[in-house]
Amino acid sequence: MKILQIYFCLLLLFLWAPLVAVLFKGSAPEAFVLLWKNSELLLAFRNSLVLGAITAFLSTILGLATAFALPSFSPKVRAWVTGSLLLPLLLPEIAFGIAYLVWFRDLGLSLGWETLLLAHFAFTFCFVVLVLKTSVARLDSSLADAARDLGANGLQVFRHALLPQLLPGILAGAAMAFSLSLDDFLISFFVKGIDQITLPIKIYSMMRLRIGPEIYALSVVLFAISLFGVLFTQLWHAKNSRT
Amino acid sequence: MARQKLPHLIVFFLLFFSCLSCTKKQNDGSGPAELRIFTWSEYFDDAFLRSFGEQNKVKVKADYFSSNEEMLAKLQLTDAQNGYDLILPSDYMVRTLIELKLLQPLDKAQLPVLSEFEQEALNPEYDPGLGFSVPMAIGTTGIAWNTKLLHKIPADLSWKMVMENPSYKGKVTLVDDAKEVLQMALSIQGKSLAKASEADVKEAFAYLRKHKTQVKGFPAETRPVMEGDECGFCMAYSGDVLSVAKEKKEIQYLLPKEGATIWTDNLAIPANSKNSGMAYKFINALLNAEGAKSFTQRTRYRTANFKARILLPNEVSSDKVIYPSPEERKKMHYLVQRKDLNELIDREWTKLKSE
Repeated sequence: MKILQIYFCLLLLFLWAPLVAVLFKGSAPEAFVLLWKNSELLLAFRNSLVLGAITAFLSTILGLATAFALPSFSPKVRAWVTGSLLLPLLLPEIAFGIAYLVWFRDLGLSLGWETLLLAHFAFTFCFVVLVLKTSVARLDSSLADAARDLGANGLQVFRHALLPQLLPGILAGAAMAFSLSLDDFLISFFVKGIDQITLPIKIYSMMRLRIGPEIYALSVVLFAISLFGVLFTQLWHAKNSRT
Repeated sequence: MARQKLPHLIVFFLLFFSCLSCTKKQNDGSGPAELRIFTWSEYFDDAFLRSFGEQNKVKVKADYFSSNEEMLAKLQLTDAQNGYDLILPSDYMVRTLIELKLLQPLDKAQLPVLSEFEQEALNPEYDPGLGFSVPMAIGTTGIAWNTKLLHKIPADLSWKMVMENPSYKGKVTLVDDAKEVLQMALSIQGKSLAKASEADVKEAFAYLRKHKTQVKGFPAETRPVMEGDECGFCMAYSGDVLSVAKEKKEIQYLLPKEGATIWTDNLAIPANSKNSGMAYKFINALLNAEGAKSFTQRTRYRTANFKARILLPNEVSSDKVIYPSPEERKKMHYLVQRKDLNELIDREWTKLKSE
């Protein structure tokens, strides 16, 4: 057992060392000043955060609805539908991005926030459904029946009997959609218009000339946000499982 | 039953969503004039873009790519509505774009700035006579040498020495680019990629395999390797070296005796540009003496404008990395596309790296 623990600690160290190294590089106050002054980079960051949030919202709501719809299909159809959801996971991003770009072009749409959002929704949606599918499958339906027996209407059943059970899955799905969207370079590159500069687009395109200290500072900010998110969900989880 | 209503809900949402996307109005080209530039990030100064926009009453919009191949893909797939007015392909990509008929032939009458260009820049191998492109940023691939790790460097440093001298064993890194490395090995034997035969290529790779113990690795990014004191000699791009050397005095840049590769990022106008007139104006404003001067000062890349060099402060205009001597320039070559050799090069390159 001891050996396994040591192994695990070493593994953690290995996984986290690069992140900590960037933290040290980015913690210089000058780096933050540079970041603060770099309005283009901040705009790209804001664009990515907003896009990620809207993508997560849409994917989660529609993903939840889909997860509820899946059991109502006959087993044969369900296998096909579920299988088709795996497609974006297996398809190389570049194929996905190009397919969507060609599709949008043939529809005569001009590329912009709408096309970017649609594509982001499309590739995050499948991940969210896969997460929520298991949440829905594990639902304790006796609770819903009990609520209905006690006179709850459809909305109340959902709100009080189903939603609390689904919440961890919903949060996990939304977080996944958000981070996938925040991360994405290739699909965005193809389906975006000229004005939609997202954070990965900006950072990758800086490679030719310079990756400055402000990128390190930005990493620190992102790191802090993620850490906060993880701690928050862990604490929230701990609190809920105790009561 | 709530569960049975949900499928209807999905249909509703999907319909709603697709309506949302269909209401998107078509861009009919009216409204304020735009200049849409497709570029690497950080090449242009915000202030420059803004003042150009104000002077010419045009909205300058920059979109970014991070490799020539991405740019090519997007260019091929977009129509005029979503396209660009000015793009920045590298030398070898200019050739490809010309062959694919994706560029507009340039109207030289609209490019008075070319009269201030060095003679040799007007006739590059990839686009003779500058029919389709204007060179903007010019850099080289040479050797970054870390004086902390290797104190004494012989005066006539050559690639041959770097690859064969036993005291440099395991101290060399090469860039992760098959053609750059191949060109280096060919140049040791006095050959060049432009004229190499299949046998030459095989021989060059055999040479590289034989001396692979000299090589520590093929990093995708050379800057962190230089910053971390990880190599005595790094094959590196001049701009990378200069940006690291600004804060690390022990990094020096050398052009080896055999010569070096030269590369350029160019301005070109896509065939489906909607505002080529403004693109010409932009090229003139960017590369006239004053514009080219501030460009070099900011990016540390040379331009072809000879008048700009006179305007530059001495420490920049006399910098050997930015402005190599005429003798050195004579030994510089562009990397060329060799479609006939591509497959062989790919195969040999994989073999070299994996062995």
